[in-house]
This record gives sequence, structure tokens and C-alpha cells, in this order.
Amino acid sequence: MNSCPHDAQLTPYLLGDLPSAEAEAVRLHLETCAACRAEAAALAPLLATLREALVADAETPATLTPDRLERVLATPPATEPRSRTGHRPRHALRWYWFSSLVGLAATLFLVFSFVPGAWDAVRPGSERAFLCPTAPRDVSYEFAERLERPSTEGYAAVETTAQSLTERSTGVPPLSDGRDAHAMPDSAGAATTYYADAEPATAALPSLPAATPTPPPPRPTTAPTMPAKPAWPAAAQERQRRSGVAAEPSQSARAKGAELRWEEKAEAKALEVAGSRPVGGKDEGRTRRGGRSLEESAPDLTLGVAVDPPTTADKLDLYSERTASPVAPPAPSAPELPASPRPAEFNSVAAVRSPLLTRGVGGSRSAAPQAAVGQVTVDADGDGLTAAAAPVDPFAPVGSSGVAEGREVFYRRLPGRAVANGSGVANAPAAPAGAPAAVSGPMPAQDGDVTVVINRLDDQSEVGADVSGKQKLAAGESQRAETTADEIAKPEAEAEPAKEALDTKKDAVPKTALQRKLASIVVPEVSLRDANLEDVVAFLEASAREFGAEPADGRKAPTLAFSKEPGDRETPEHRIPDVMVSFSARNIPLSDLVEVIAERAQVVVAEEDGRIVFKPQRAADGETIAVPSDRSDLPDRSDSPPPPPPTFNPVVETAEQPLSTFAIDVDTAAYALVRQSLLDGRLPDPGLVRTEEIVNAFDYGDHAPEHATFRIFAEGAPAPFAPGRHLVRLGIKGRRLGREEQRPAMLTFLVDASGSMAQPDRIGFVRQALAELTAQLGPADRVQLVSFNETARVVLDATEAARRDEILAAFDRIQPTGPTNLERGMNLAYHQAIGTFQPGAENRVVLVSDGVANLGTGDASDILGQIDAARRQGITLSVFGVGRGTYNDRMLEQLANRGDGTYRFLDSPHEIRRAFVDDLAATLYTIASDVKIQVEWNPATVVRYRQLGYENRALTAQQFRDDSVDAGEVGSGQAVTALYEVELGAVQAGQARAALSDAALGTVRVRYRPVGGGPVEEIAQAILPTDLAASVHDTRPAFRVAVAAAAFAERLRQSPHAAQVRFDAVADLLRPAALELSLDTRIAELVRLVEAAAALTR
Amino acid sequence: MLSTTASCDPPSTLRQRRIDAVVREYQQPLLRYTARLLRNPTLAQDVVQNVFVKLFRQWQPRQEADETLKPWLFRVAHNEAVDLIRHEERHRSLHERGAAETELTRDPTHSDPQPDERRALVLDCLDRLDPAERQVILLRLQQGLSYDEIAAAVGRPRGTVGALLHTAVKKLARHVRRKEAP
Repeated sequence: MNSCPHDAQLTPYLLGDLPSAEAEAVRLHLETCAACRAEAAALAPLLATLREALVADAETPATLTPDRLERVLATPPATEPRSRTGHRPRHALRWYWFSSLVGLAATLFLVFSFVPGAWDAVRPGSERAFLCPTAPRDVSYEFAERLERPSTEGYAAVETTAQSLTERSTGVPPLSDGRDAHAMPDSAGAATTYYADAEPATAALPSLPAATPTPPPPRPTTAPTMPAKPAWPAAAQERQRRSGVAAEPSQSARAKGAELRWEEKAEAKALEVAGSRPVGGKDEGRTRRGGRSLEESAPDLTLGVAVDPPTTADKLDLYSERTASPVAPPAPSAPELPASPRPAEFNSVAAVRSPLLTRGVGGSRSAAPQAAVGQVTVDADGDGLTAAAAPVDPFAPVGSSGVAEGREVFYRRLPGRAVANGSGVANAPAAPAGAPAAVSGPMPAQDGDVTVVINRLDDQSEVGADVSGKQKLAAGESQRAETTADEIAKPEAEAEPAKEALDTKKDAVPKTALQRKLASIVVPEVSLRDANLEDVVAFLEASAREFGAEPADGRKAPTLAFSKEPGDRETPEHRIPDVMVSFSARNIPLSDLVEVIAERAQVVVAEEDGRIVFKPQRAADGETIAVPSDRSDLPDRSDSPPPPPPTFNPVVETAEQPLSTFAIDVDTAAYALVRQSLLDGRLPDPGLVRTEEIVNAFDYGDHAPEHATFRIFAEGAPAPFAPGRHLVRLGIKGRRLGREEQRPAMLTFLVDASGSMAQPDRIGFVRQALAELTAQLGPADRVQLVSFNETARVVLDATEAARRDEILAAFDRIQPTGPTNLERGMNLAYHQAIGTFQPGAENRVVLVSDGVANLGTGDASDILGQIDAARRQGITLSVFGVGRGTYNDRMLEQLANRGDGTYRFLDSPHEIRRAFVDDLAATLYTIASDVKIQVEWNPATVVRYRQLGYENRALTAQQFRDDSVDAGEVGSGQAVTALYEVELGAVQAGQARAALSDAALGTVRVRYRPVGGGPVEEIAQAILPTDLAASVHDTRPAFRVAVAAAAFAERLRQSPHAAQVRFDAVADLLRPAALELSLDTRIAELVRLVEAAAALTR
Repeated sequence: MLSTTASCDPPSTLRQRRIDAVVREYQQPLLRYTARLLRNPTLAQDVVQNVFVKLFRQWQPRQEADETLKPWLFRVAHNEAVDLIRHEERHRSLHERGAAETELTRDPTHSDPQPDERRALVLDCLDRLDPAERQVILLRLQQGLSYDEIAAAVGRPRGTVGALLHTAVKKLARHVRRKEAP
């Protein structure tokens, strides 16, 4: 009856299952085909009814009857491997190998721990406090040793030992998830029994180590090193390192040795921070374990950490197995445990399990819990009884992202709820839900959260030893993320100093008496609100007097005194900024308190004449801080640097260089800037005009490929504005992702909330843009919001897009004021993005700014390194510029280029709709990265050529196949257009078709890395003479638009090659095309802009 | 064998837990699916039980659930159901005739107290489709499987899933039309 080819697609179309391109085709078809239309009209209500009926179909039982269930559960296990089509056992064999190794290693380990002196030969002299204070010192120390090896056995042994240590000291079974215990009461018990058995057994085998295949590792040559001088404020050190001040050996040594240490030491600090962050309702109703709380017992907080080398899935599996993962519940209901409503005291085990779940079930569209590669255990009261645990996230979860294995410092922001409820750490996040983060003054990243920073062992070794056996608590700093990025970026550079540091290690100077004293004083409660530095100093002195007991041995400890160095009042940049500090914590050692305050007040701490002195940063470490001379809320218009003069691609002789290579660029910001300028009645600055961005602002009607990632189009005609030459347009069109292929998005908005944004065309646009975008997101997408002015703060934690009201309310809370410290904002945003990284999702930081940075270094280069490192881990960056006049175009473009992201300029509500509604898929979902194009012109047919635009995207011919070269990224359905002006050999324009019937003009090659892994691909297509039209008037109107847009851009940027182009002529060429393409309003707009430019030049 | 088991739960416990998890996870979808497929909740219980028994007999001690599990389960469920139908072929035709008769003599006052008559009608027509057709519709609309998963479950190429679905829906529409306009 209906033999239409589209017939079979109707049902999928009606169900919304078709990829958007096909759906579009069907939709168009329905407009013309009456039969299909009738059928669709008939089927649609039926499908709706059917769906309803099936959903409401409740007549079936929900569970198996008990007797049947019994039979299922009593199913005997497989006796021999049998293959099952479709669902094959994947891990069985591998697992057996691993478990044997693990067992061996564990045995060894335990044996070693009971053989006195077994480690003496390989152990250095220095004594270090380690993780588990009540465990035998030797054992805990060796625990650390083993952890340093990035090997499976070592890792596994660590895990085992950690558990048995816990048990030995407490007699309590290892952590277990409350749910599992409930479902399978015997599981935890089984583990307990085992360990009880294991210890005597292994202890009875003292001679085993010599005969085993996996002997304990020799101490690595890159042993932990001690800083050559007391380096007590770790924060200050971090700052120094970041600021690029020549690193002293001791500092470089902290970085690492050549060999990676997998396991280092952990530090944690439970900070109860004043102020609040919105707390979701999920946290309530959880119990503490045994009423013990960190408030009462910190600073004896002890962390044990087991980190798995995160790079291979095998190891991840192993870990998951060992933590006794049950067969996966479905991904959608996969327990992201902290959110569990159960009174689950401990979520580590289950949370560690989650990578298995997501991997196993492959819930690609579901919100995948973060992959955890390890587990942090928190011992709140130093009795060796582990009180809480939480997973450690891999900093670099993307296997092939090029991040060197193990060069990371692992760190993990524990959501406040995870620990707060697991162990009763703090009542900090107990503010009423939805309360605004109303803390004034600079706030670091982790408001209300507990931060665990796992540092390298050498980094903290002396600290651990000195703080009287207690674990030193360090404030978690978001800046560590950047440190990490730096380290990844230049590992070699660090190797040398590390060696030096090794030499100086033996001479390590102990801490000064003052620092020891500082560390020994524990302040039971700190509560500072909007305190300036003078208040803080007074508070510290009072605390030191009140809580500083004299040492028991009768030695006179130095009296603590604090002061604030006045600094050089004459020069504003030497002044200590009048920062208000808000901070509260309990049971915090004074040393840490000082550090935290220094961090927040943006000062450094020094020791001078027996006093602790707060100094301005510049005076202390030479860091350049551009404190704005005028801190008013008005934007400083002089901040925007003039764009550099444009460069122009030369005319190239094909015989000399037939290859033209460039990275793809899909940005269109230059067009928006040009438009803004012309509508303001002035010609744009030539340096702002990028031809490729003007050309790419329009749609040339290339059809998206259905299966391939890219399709190449070529067309040409005699160039209307360059007699004797042809203009060739090369279109590269990306595939449109279907509904099913779109990955969930994890968007981290970074919104500039500085004073310069407080204009209706800025913050107003931002709010509108974010609201538009949020409305477009799917339910699986998540959004978090970071704003920055002089400091950065998290305005909204990761929230499902479905909770739109909360998100919009958070946007409304942004009130622009103060200077702009883009660096801080980027740091925090990336910190957040890493913390919420979702494997398999589109992890993207979305920066909205006017680009006027006036605090921090204000220089893109510092930030670029960080963006670069994050990009390699799968976090991309989109940049949206707003605001007229002061807008720092160049820096924002650089940022987006480095972050593999798009860069758009929002100059009107219309443009916002385009960016966030029409082109959302292209903005959010990338289909390929590192897209490079190489055109090889045929010297036999093309004498010379000139590329229009892409000047700052040019690559060398060799870089085309060098896959390490970063290039552009293309979003779903995005098109890229490149234009060449070519001179054909001895052929006149009109004869092109006949004379060149055989020889190709050249070949276009596109090389790209498909998103979602897979090898780099390369496609090629010849440019044939038949692609050329005899006259520009024979071409498609879209081609004429391209010609006109390019000529317009070239003329605006005052290209010498377009000196003879008249805007009037461009407008004349464009008008008929605009009429033919009347549906595309952008082309009509282009006509108006060209006319405006013509009027301005008359 | 201390060393082998050192690092984890004994395999049997682990296995038990996984089995438990799979059962908890899939029993309801499978029951709903097979019940609709077979038009008989009791038989559905049999089928689902067999599916699980089959699964766990083949389940290797260290095996994990992965993305192939779900299509596999539905595929086995379907095969089991069809086996059952074949096995009871005679009963089936008998049953069908009986159902048709019930249909003809259906008294609105004694009919299924469905709130929505049309829904009941559509479900009824659904029951008249071939199992293979019902399978696709149920997998898509009841279980919400993706086309890839459906393709794996029915053992057909992914590209044909849409067409299969459409054919089934068209047939269903014919049945519905016929019933609505006697």
C-alpha cells in the first residue's frame, strides 16, 4: 500500500529514535508525501496509546515467587568455562592470575611485617610517622614503601595490608557498605574470618620471602627527600613554584623523582568553614559511626590512602573485584553512594565499586559515577580504627590522554557530605538548603568541604615527622590542580633538580623551634568573620597564649608572636590587600591556621626575629601581583590591549610549495565583533578581523555525512574580485550526532563576576545565555557554576539540569563587583571540573567573560598550560565573550584554541539564541578533535595559490601527520570552510572546464581524531576541474555568499590582496544571493553590514 | 589456598551477591516483558526462572555484568518463551481460539476493569501479533532498550530494527483498526 522508501522510518521517526539528520529528512519527506503523512497521522496516536498502556500495564508480578527465586539462587556454578553468545566471560582468567599475585604479595607483606629487621637492609634511616598510628611502626612504614610501587602486586598488597591492619588494631571488620551488609550478611563476616586466619598462617612462614617470585621492592633510588630548609608554609611554597620563581632544590625535590610514587602520604583537613553552601536534601538522616566525630578528635585525623594506578582498566577491575563488587545494578540506579538515603556509614567500598558498574553495564548515557581508583580512609581519632572512607578519584582517568602515568598528584575533594556523614566530621555544611553563599572575603574552593590532598611522600616527609607524630593537616588548595598540570607538562625539567635534592637530603635542617611550637598548639575553635589581618594577628596571639602549654620536658619554648608587616605603603602593589578573612574550624593546629589565613589573605608567612610575620606576596617571593590601582567597580577601558596588526597569507608558487596545511577553526567571534563595530558606526580594527571566522559564520548548505565523520566539498568559480584567478571553496562538514549518540554533558560554568561585567550587555547577557542553555540541556546533563572576581567561589555544586530553578537561582546570585582575577577563576573551575569529571561525558568548562583580567598575572600564558593539561584529560573549554569596548578578544581566543573549544562572542540576544539554542549540539558535542586540513595543489594545473584567512592556524606540512600537534575541534554538524584563490596554468577563466577536464587541481586531506577514542583518521578528496563553474553567476548562491564574505573580510582587514575590492561591489554580488537564500537571516544581515562598511568608507 | 583468596571475599559469596544483584535488577523487567509476550503471568514466571538459571549456570565465578548482559537476558527470555509456545503448540491454538471467542462474547460490564478502553484494546491487539513482532515492540516501548540493544536481543542487524518495529506497529494498527470498526 505504501511503498514509499521512507515508510520503514516512520515509526522510529514518531518515537523520536532517528538521528537528527535522518529525522530531518523524514520531516521534509512528510511535507511532500501524502501517503506517509496519512500513515504517520494514524500511527502517532496508536504509539502514544501503546506506550501508555505498556507503562500502565501493572498486571504482571514484579518479583519471582519465592520458590522460584530459591531455585535461581541455588543454581550451581559453572563447572567449566562455557561460551555464551553475546555475554562472554571477560575477566575470569585474568582475574585468577591477578588474585594469585595479589595473594602472594599479601602473604609476603604480612611475613615481612612480622620479621624484625627484614626491612632494615632496604630501609633508610629516617623515621616517619605514617598512616596508622597504632599499628606497629614497621608495618605502617612498609605499607608506605609498597605503595610507592606502581605495580599491581604492590598495590594489591597494600590494599590487603590496609585491611588487615585495620582489623588487627580494632578487631572490627573492614569497611563495608551498609547496603551490602544488609543484603548479604555473611560477606563482611567472611572477610573478617579470612584475615583472622591469614595472619598466624603467614607469620609462621618467616623464611618465605627468599623463595618467592615477588620479593619486596628495593627502596627506589628516588627516595623521598627532605627539603634543605624548613619549608613550612606549604601554601607559600606552592605559590612560589607556581609563580615561576627560580625553584630552590628543596622545592624542586618535592616534585618527584623520576620514578613515580603511587602512594604517598595523605593529609587531610577537616575545615569547618564559615558561611555555607547550598546543601541538597540528600545528606540528612545519616548516622555517624559510634558518635565519634572529627570535631572532637581532629587534629589526630589520620588518613590512609590506597591508590590504584589508574591507567588500565584491568587494574581497575582488579580493585573492584577485591572490594567485592556485586554484580552490577543498572547504571541508572548505580549507587553514587554519598547520595544514598540509607544510613550508610561508610561509602568507600561501594563507591570504589562504582567504576565497575559504569564500565560493566556501559551506562553511557547515564550519569556515570566517577571512577574511583582508590580509597581514602579517615581515622578520626588516631586509634587506628578507621572511621570513614571515601574514594580517590583518578586525576587522569582517560587512558590515552597522554598524561604520563603516575605523574599526578592525586587529590580528591571529598564532598562534605561524604565525610561529614561518614564520620561526623563537621557540621559545616548544615546551612539551610538554598542559602546563598554569603561569606564575604576570599573563599577558597572547598567551602564547606573536606579536602584531602595526597601529596608526594618527599613533599611532606619532614612535616609528618615533626608535627609530634601527628599527621600534619594542610589546607586543601585548589591551586594544586595547577601544580599537577605543570608537573605533567614538564616532567623532564623536574628530574634534574630532584636528583640534586636527593643529595641535599641528608643535611635537612629540622624545623625551627618556632615552627614546632606553632604546630604543637591546637586551637579548639576558630571562628573568624570578616576579619582583617590585624584582627587575625590579635586572634593568633591570643590563641598562642591561651593554648600554648609549656613543653613537658621543661625546656623553654619560644614565645609566639605575630605581626603584620606594614609593607611598603608607598607603592600600592606592595600593600597587603585589605582582605577580609572568614574562616572557622575546630581543633586546628596553629601552624595550619596560619597557613590557611595566609592563603586566604593572599599574604605569605615568614619567620623573622622570632616572630611570625605576614608579608605581602610580592615582597616575599617576588611574585608579581597587579593590584589594580583603582579598585572601583568601573571597568578600566585601557586594559584591553590593541590587537596585533593582521598578517596575510602570501601568494605561493605551487611548484615551490604545493602543500598548504592548517588547523581547523570553527570560531565565529570575529564576525560578531565586526558586526558590533559596524553597527556602532565605525570600521572594525583590522587586527580584529579574521577572514576564516567571518567566512565560517555562514552556512553554505553542505550536507552532513550520514556515517563518515566528515565529508569534503569543493566548488569554485572565477574570482569576481581577482581577475584571472579562481576562487575555490573547500567545505568540510561534520556529521550530526543523533539523539542516542549525544553524551551527557557535565558543564562547569565559569562566570566573570567582576565589576567590569556590571553592565546590561554583559551580566544580563550572561544570565540570559545561561538560562537559554539550561533550558536546552537534557535530564542527564549536569551543571555547576563557579564565579570569580578577585577570588573565585563555587556558586552551585554539580546539579542535574532538570533542577532548573535551582540553577537559575544560582545565576541570579551572581552580583558583579570587584576586580577580575581570571587566573583564580580558571583554577577553581578546573579544580571543580576535575572533581566532577564524568568519564564518557562531555566534560566542559564554559567561560563567560569580558576578558578584562586585571588581577593575577592577567596573562593567558599561565592559564594556557593548565587548559592544555586538562584538555588532554578530556576537559574542554568553551569561551563566550561579552561586552563592548573593553573586550579582550585575543586572550579569549587563545584560551578557547588551547582548550579545544569554541569561541563565540555574544553581542545580542539574537546571537545568544544562535549560540545556545540553534547551535547547541555543535557547541556541546564534539565529533572530532585535532582536525587538520592539508591541500596539495597540483603544480601541473595550478600555478600559484593563496589561502584566505587561517593565518594564525597555519601548520607546517610535516605537522599534518604529526598527531601530537594540537589542532581544532569540530562539533556535531559543524561545517568549516576554507577558501583559496588559485591561478590556473595558461588557462583563461571561461575555458577552465574544457581545458582541464582530466588533471585534478589538487587534493584535500582531512586528518582528525574521532571523539570517543579510536585511531587518528585521514580522508582525502580530489578537487576536480568539474568542480569549477564557468562564471561566478553560475554558482550556487551559497558559494557567492562565501566569496562575498571573504572579500568583505579581506577588505576590512586591509589585505593588500584585496585593495581593489569595493564594498559596493561586494554588496552587489551579495544581494541576489541574499534574496535566493531569504530564509537565512544571517545573509541579510551580512548585506547590511557590507552596506554599512561601504557607507563608512565613502 | 590461602593466597588465592587473600584479597577478597570467597568466590562463592561474591557470586551469590552478583546473582542476587542481577535478580533484583532484572526480574521485574523480564517478568513484565515475558508476561506480555506470553500473555500469561504464570508462564512468565517459569520463563524468567529458566532465564536466570541458565545465566547462573554459565556464570563464571569472577564474571561481571557488562553491557551485553541486558540484550542477552531479553534474548534468552524470548527464546525460552518461544520454546514454551512451541512446546504447547496445540494448547496455544486452542487458547487462541478461546481467546477469540472470549473476545467475541466480551461483555463490557464484565470486562477487565481497565480505566482506559483504548489502552486495553491496543494491548489486546498487541497480543495477537507474532511473538517476534511483539518482541520488538515490547523491547522498545516497554523496556526502553536502545536500537543497539534490541538488535543484539533479536539477533538482527541494527539497521533493520527500525523497519521491524515499523512493520510490527503497522500490523498492530491494522488489528486495532479492524477491531475499532467492526
